[in-house]
Amino acid sequence: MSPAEAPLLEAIEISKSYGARLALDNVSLAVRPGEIAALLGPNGAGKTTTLSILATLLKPDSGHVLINGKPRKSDPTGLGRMLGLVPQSLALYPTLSAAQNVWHFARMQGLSHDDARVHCKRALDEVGLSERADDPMHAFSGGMKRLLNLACGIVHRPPVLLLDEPTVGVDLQSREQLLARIRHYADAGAGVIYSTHYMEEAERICDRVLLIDRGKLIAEGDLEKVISLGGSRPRIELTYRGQLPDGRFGNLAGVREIGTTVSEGKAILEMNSFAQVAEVLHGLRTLDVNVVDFNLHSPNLSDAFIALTGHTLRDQVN
Amino acid sequence: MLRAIWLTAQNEARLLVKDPTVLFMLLFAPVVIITVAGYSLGSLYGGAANSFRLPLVDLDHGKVAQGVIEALRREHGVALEMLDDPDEARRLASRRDRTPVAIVIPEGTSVAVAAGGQPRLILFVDPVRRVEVNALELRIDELCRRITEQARTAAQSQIESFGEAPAITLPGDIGFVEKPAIEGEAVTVNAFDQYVPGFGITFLLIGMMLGIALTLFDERDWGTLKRLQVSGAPLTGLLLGKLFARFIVGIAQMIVLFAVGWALFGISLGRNPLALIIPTVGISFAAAALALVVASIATAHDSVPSLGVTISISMAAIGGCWWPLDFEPGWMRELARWLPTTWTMQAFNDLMIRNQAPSAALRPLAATIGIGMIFLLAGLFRFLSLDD
Repeated sequence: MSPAEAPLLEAIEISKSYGARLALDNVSLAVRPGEIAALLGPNGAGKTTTLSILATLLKPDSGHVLINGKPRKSDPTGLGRMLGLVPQSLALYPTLSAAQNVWHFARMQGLSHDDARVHCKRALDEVGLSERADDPMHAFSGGMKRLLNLACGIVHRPPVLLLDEPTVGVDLQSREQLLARIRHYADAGAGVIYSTHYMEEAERICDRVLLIDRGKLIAEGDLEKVISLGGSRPRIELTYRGQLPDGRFGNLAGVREIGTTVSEGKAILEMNSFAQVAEVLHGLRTLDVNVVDFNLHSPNLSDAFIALTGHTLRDQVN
Repeated sequence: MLRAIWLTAQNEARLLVKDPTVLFMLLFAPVVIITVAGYSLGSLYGGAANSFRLPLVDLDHGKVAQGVIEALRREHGVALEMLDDPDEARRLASRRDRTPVAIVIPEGTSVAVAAGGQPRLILFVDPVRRVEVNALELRIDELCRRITEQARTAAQSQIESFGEAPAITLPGDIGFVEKPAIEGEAVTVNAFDQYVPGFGITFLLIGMMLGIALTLFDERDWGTLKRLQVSGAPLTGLLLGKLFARFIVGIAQMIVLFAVGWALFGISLGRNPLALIIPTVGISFAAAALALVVASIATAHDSVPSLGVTISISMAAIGGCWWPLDFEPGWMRELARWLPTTWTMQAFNDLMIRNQAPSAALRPLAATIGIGMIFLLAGLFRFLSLDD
């Protein structure tokens, strides 16, 4: 991805209120070709509202959305077809077969009869449902329904894909398949906005992270940048036996004590980098600290989120 | 076990209170149906009968005619209208509400009675309103019997006053003969000619409610409507597409019903069976549009069936699909003028029973389409405002 490339989809200073509750507060974001941008935040943070506004299903109270640099109203149908929405709910027809579902959305997206046939087959192939194409959707497992939901969103090969918590309630195997398909789709040139509250998913497949909390975009950038915004550094978590020396860990260079529970024999030390591990362990031995176990912890999005907001990603925003 | 029963019952009560539509329908639906049926069928159970308008043409101008007219003027619930033209009286009986019968007293009736003959009043009757015709005929029959009896009593007194029988004749019986209000048609009707279109309309309405209103709710719940909107498809287009499909299904449903009615019950298909498409198109359109209104005002998926079925049944009943419109009180007949069911039943009756030309269905079609358009605009406006 080239940073110089123009955004496929852009939200500029959008705000939205539901009654007295401010759901989105002056949020700006963009997605470019080949990029997966994670919209990461706890439940109720404003992710679905943001996606609904980006999909032009919801009008913002202020601000605007540009698709390929243009407002949707300049070409409602043409620009609308640049978007593929995969909503959190299964927006499918339960009694129709997988093929019929995909076919309907393909035709509604303006594909000709012949094109729709080719695209439907490809979409079902891509999500691994070709063999179940003629089975009714209601007979599918939860994971297969999610895959079909994705197939309906990508059948017309939209340059922009909007995914709203696509892996909620999905088993591990289906999740892997879904994430692989989404990464593959972005690698083929699409811009993807991936809304989730699963930090691990964002870390795995996304190129850029948009941290959202209580309707505000609190951090934005590539993974390393956002993690570093939280100020977190690598940690070593120790389990020890016996007494700690006077001055505890103060004599170890380049290390900061985060927290120690003497009664449990546990301590957490922050380092500048993982390259210090051997040096830290050697220093501990010099100080006569009897280390019986240790774990290394890389700083992650969750740490950054806690550092930036004071609460965890799993917390519900009220 | 008891705890589970008690807690479940408590929760059900909470759910019920939280859904005012269902609560409302539990009370509203039976009250509506009771009101419609009670007012419509009240006269059958001895309640106050509805008044009839009775056109009468006196071509006799004799004592018998005078007796009949005076007796009819005293009849409760009959508004006598004196006319000069038998054709006009006949026309009124074929078309106007609360006018199922018109009477013509033929010239020479009084003379014939005095001569011991058995003259017959002519009753022009509308076969569509057979039940009302029968009710009025019972009263006219009784009235004729009374007049005959009075005439005979008077003649008998006259004979007795002479002491011995003079050479005079006792008056004859007055009776009546039915003639169809529309020339050339039968005076009786196959009951299925009424019930096939009547119940066809009822189930068409119910089918639309379930087919359109429920599935629109489903699509809102599933999120498919929203997803399709992203593609650039306008919501209005999506709604009209849904209505159009059900509109076609409604027409097919009525065609099948008429075919079954004809094959099994020998219903009349009128002069031109294809003309039955005209009112069918109208009611299918209006019913589809009405279902959109129901979908837009129902607050929950579960309230759609009760709301839709109550509206369907009420409209069918008030519109004369189940019993003759003339059974209903004035305010209900006035309300019926604003229902598509009323106009559609009128068109089916005209085509199937009164055997009129297809053009007779055009005015009812215009009225039905007009009412349907109001439903459609209201439903679209409400649905689009919900979407905003």
